[in-house]
Amino acid sequence: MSAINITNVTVLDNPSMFLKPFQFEISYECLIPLKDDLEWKLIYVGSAEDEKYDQVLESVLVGPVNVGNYRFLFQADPPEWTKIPDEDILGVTVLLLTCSYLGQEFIRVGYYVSTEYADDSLNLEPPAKVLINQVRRTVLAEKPRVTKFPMAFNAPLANEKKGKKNEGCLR
Amino acid sequence: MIVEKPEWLRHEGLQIFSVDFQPSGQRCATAGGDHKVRIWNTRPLMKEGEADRGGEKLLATLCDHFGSVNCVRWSKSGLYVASGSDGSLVLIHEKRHGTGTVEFGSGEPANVENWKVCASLRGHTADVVDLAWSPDDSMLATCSLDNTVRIWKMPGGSSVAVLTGHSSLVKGVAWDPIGSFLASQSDDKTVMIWQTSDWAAVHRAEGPWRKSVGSTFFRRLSWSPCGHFIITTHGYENPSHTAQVLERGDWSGTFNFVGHNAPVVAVRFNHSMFRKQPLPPPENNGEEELLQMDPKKVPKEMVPYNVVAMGSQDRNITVWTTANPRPVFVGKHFFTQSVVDLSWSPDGYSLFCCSLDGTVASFHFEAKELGHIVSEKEMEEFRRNRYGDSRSRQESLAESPAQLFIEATAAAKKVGNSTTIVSNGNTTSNVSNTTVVTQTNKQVASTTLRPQEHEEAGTTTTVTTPKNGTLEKDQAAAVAVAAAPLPPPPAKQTPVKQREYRQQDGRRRIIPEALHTEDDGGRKDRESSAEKRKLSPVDASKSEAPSKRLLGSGGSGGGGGVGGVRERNGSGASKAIEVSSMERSLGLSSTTNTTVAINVTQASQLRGPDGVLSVQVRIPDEESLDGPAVAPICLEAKPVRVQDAAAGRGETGETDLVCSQGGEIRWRDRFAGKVTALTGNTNFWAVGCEDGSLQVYTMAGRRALPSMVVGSAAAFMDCTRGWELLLLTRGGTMHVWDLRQSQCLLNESLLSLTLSSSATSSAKENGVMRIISARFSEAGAPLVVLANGHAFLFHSKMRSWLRIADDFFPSSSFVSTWPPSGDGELAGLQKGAATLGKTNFSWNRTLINEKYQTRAHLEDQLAAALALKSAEEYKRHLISYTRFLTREADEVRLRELCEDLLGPLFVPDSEPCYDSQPTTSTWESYVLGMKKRELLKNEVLPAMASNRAVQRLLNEFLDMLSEYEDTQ
Repeated sequence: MSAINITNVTVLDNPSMFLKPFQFEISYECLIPLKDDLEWKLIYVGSAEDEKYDQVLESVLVGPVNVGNYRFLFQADPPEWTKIPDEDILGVTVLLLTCSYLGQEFIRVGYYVSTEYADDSLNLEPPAKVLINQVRRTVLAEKPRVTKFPMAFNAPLANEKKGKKNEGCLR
Repeated sequence: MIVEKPEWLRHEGLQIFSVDFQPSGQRCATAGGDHKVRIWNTRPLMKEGEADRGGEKLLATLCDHFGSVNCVRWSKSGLYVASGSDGSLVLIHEKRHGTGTVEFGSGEPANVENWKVCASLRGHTADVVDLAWSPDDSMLATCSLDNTVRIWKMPGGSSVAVLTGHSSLVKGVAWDPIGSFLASQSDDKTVMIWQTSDWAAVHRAEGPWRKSVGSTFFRRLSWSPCGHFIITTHGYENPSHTAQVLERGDWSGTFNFVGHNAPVVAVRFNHSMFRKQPLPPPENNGEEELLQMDPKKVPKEMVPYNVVAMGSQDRNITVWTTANPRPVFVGKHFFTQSVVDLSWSPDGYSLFCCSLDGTVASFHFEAKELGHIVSEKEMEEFRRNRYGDSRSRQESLAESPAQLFIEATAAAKKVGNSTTIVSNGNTTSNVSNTTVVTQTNKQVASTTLRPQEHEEAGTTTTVTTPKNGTLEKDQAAAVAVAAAPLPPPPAKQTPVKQREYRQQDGRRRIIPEALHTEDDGGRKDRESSAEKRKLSPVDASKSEAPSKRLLGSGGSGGGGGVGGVRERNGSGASKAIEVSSMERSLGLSSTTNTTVAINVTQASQLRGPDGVLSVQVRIPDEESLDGPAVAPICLEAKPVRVQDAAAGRGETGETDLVCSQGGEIRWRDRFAGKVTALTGNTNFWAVGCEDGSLQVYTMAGRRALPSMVVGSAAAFMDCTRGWELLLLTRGGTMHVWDLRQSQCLLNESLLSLTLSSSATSSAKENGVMRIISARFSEAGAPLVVLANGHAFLFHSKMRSWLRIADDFFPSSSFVSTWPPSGDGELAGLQKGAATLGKTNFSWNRTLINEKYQTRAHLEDQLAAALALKSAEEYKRHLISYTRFLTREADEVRLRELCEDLLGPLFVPDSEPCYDSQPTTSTWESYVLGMKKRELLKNEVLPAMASNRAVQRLLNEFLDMLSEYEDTQ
C-alpha cells in the first residue's frame, strides 16, 4: 500500500522555451503520517541511448508528511543543454518526476517532452548549430505514465527478518 | 430464472479472480488480474428494468495492489473491503467521506466513492490466495502460497496467529459461522480445522482429495450457515470430480457432490437456509417450535435445507440443495474458462459468478426454484438452539443494571467534554466550505468568459497558443474540475502557499500547502508540533530554544541561556562531576505569592564587568489588597570594580550586596569572593560564593550564621517558602538545611545520577554533567533536572533519587498526545524531557511494543505523580491508566489497582490492630489528600465501564464499595 498518492500534477508554463525553468504543481494525499520527508526529483533524460546523459534537474525534500491533502510548487532549472548530445536536443525525450521515501523510490511519473524550434521555418530547415534560444519544449502533460513500486512505509527496515514483521500499518 | 452477463463489468478484459457482495447488497466488489479491486453498484445488476439508468455502475477502482488481486471479501458490517494479492499483500479498504479522486495517470475515470486503504497487513511471504472475515468481524483469516494461514485482529490489523500445519500451498479458508473454528484447504490434499480459542489444529482431514489430480487456482471451501457442514473443493473419486462434505463434530466425510467434469474450484453456501413451503402465518407461533421439535416430526416441506453453489474448472456452475441429491441448476456455456468465485446476494436469490475469462455472470433465482428463505432471525434462533448463545461468549451484553447506569453516566460525561471539540470542528469545516465556494465561483467565472474554448476542450484538440499556453491550462483545470470536484484542483488563480527554505546541507525543503479536508482542525496542530520536532534536530542552535521556553518562566532569565552553556568548564574539568549551569531561571508558579527569579544574564560567568546577580522576593500583600502592589524586594550582587586605572584587573574579587525595594536601598554588605548563586524568601537570604562559602542573611541583612564552608562553589540554590535551603555545589553535592532548626536535612552526592544509565551522552560530556536546574519541587522535595531533560526527585524517606521524567517511552501512545494540557508540575518536566531528549524516534511502532510501553509509561507517570505529590496529575494519570487497562481488559492489574483504592473493610482505627497483620493497619485511606474510595467510586469505576469485558470485576467492586459504605 502506498502511504502517498499523487492526486494531480499540473505542468505550469507549458509549452515554454527550452531555457526556462520547469514548474510543476504537485498535489498529493497522505494516508499515513511519515517520520521522514519525501524526496521529489525531476530527471531529464538527455538521450534515450544512454543513461549517463540523465540530468537530475532538482531534488527537494517535502515535509512534514502528515495525513491530508497537500500541494506544492516544484520548480527546477532547465537541463544544461551543453551536456546533451547535439543530435538529442531536438526531438522527443522523457522527463521523470519521482518521489522517494528513505531513499527508496515508490512512484515515478514519466512525461514525453518534445523539443522543437518555436519558429516553423527553422524546423523545416534546421541550422547546423542548435539555436538553443529558439528551442521550445512541450511537455505532454495530459499523458503521464505512472509507475508505482511496492514499498512498506513505516515498516521496519528491509534488512529486518521478514517473518517478524507482523504488524499492520495503521492510519 | 434470469441470467445476465453485464458487458460493462470487466477488469480490462483480464481475469476476474474474485467477486463478493456487500452484506447490505448495495455494492459488490470484484478483483482481477489488472491488479485492481473494483466496487460496483449492484442496482443496475439486480433490477432488470433499471439496468441502464441505475446511476453510476462503477463506484470505485482501487489501484493499491502491485499484483493480481486474488481475493476480495467484505466485512460482515459492510464497512471494510479486504483484498489479497500476489506479492503477499493484504489491504483493508474503507469508505471515507467525500467523493472519490482520480487515480493520477491511471486513465481510469474518477471514483464516485472515496475508498481508501486503511490498513495493510504484512506477514505473508508469498501470494495471498483467499481470505475470510470472522462472523463478528473481529478477525480476518488469510491464506497464502507460503503454506500458512494468518489470523489478524480487525480493524487494526495486528497479527493474532500464524497457523502452520499445511505442507503445501493453502488455497482456501472458511470460518465457522458460530465462530469456534476455521477450516483451510491446501494443495497438500488435506483440509485442516483449527479452533479459534487457542488456534490449535483440531483435525486434519485426508479425504478424497488424495486422488485429485491437476492444479487449480483456488480451493475455496465453504461452511454452511447452519454451522454443520463444510463443503470442500477439488475432490476426486473415480470416475468423477467431487465436492466432499465434512460434518461438524468428528469432521468425517460422509457424502459428496458428484457431477463436475473437472475439479471444483470454488464453493459458496447461500448465507441463509431455505425451506420448501413458506412458514405458516405467525399466529401458529410456528417458528421456534418448529425448530425445537424433533426433526422427524416436522413435515418434510418445513425442514430447512442449505443451498450451495459450485464453480468448476469445467466452466460450469451447479446449484444444489442439501435436500435433493440432484442439482437444482446446472449452468453450462456461460464461461469460456474456469469459474473461480461465487457470491450470493443478501436476499439469497441472486448468484454472481466470476471466471478467468474476465466476465461475471449473474443468476437470479425465484422462490419456486430454491425454496423460501429462512429469515435471519430464525437462523439466529436456530444456531442458538444448537450451539448456545455465541454472544454470551463475547461478553458484549451488560450483565447488571449498574453497568448500564455507569456506562450512561460515563457517556454523558464524555459528551459534555467533547462538545467543545465538536463545535470547533464545525467552525473549521464552515470556513473551508466557504473557501471552496469562492474557488468554484472563480472557476465558473473563467468558464463563462471563454465558452468557445471549452467546447474545443471537449473535442480534445491540442491547440498550442503562443502566449504560454494559458488555454491548455484552462482545459486541464476544467477537465479536472469536472472529474474531481473535491478536493478542488489547484486552479491557476490560486498560487500555491508553500514555505521553502534551505537546509544546512544546502538542500531545498518545501513545507507543502495543506489542502482542506474534513479533519482539518485537528491536523494543523499535529502538523505544527511535528514541525517543531523536525526542526530541533536539524539546527543545533534552535534546539536550545525549546529549553529556554520551558524553563525560563521568568522573563529576565532568558538572556543568560546561550552564554551559560560553556561557562564553567574551566574551573574543575578534572573532577568526575562538574555542574555546569546551562540556564538557571526558576519560577514558582504564580499561584504562590513568592516569585523568585534569578537573573543570570552575565553574572554567572563572573567575567563581565557588569555581572550582576539579583533575586527578587515579592512580599505577599497582607493588608493592602486594593492598594498598589508592594514592590518586590531585590537582592543584587555586584562585583566591586576598582576605580583607579593603575590596577591591571578591573575587579577586586570583592562583591557588593545590595538589597533594595522599589529602588530604595534597604541594606548593603560587601565581602570577599565572587558570588555564584543567590536565593531568598521572606525569611532569609542566602548567598553562595565561588570559594565554596555560604552566607546566610536575615531579612534585614543581618548575618545570621558565620560563613558556612561547603567545599566548592554554589551552582544552584533554592529555598522553600519556609526555612529550607537547597544548595547544589559544583562538586556535585547537594545540601538541604533547615535554617530555623539549624539542622542538615540532606547531604547527598549526585554521583549516582551520573552513573545511572539515564545520564546519556547528551547529559554527560567529557565527564561533565550538565544540569539545568536544581530546586525544590512544589511539594518541597529536592529536584534535579539534567540537560537531557531527565528529572530526578530525592525521596527523603527512601534516601534515594527517583527518576520522574525521562524520554524512554517513544512508542507509548501517550507520548504522541503529549502534553495533555500543559498544566501540572510533572507535565512540565516531562515536556522538558521530551524536547531535550535525544532518543531517536524509530518509527517502527510494533503494536505489541506500543502496548507494553504505553502501560509502562502510564505506570511510571502514576508513580512519578505520587512521588512529586502532584495530586491533580495523579488523578489524571490514574484515570488514563484505568482506561488503558480497561481497554486491554487487563483484569489482574485492574483488580490490584481497585483493591488498593478500596482497602480493607474496616478502616484501621475502627479495627483492633493486630501486630501480626501490619498490612491491614498500614493502609492509608487518603492519597495526596484525596480519599481513595472517592477516587475509586468517582473516577476509576466509571472509567472501567467502557469495556464490558471487565464488567464482572466492576460489579464486584461496586458491590464491595456499597457494602463498605453501609458498614460505616
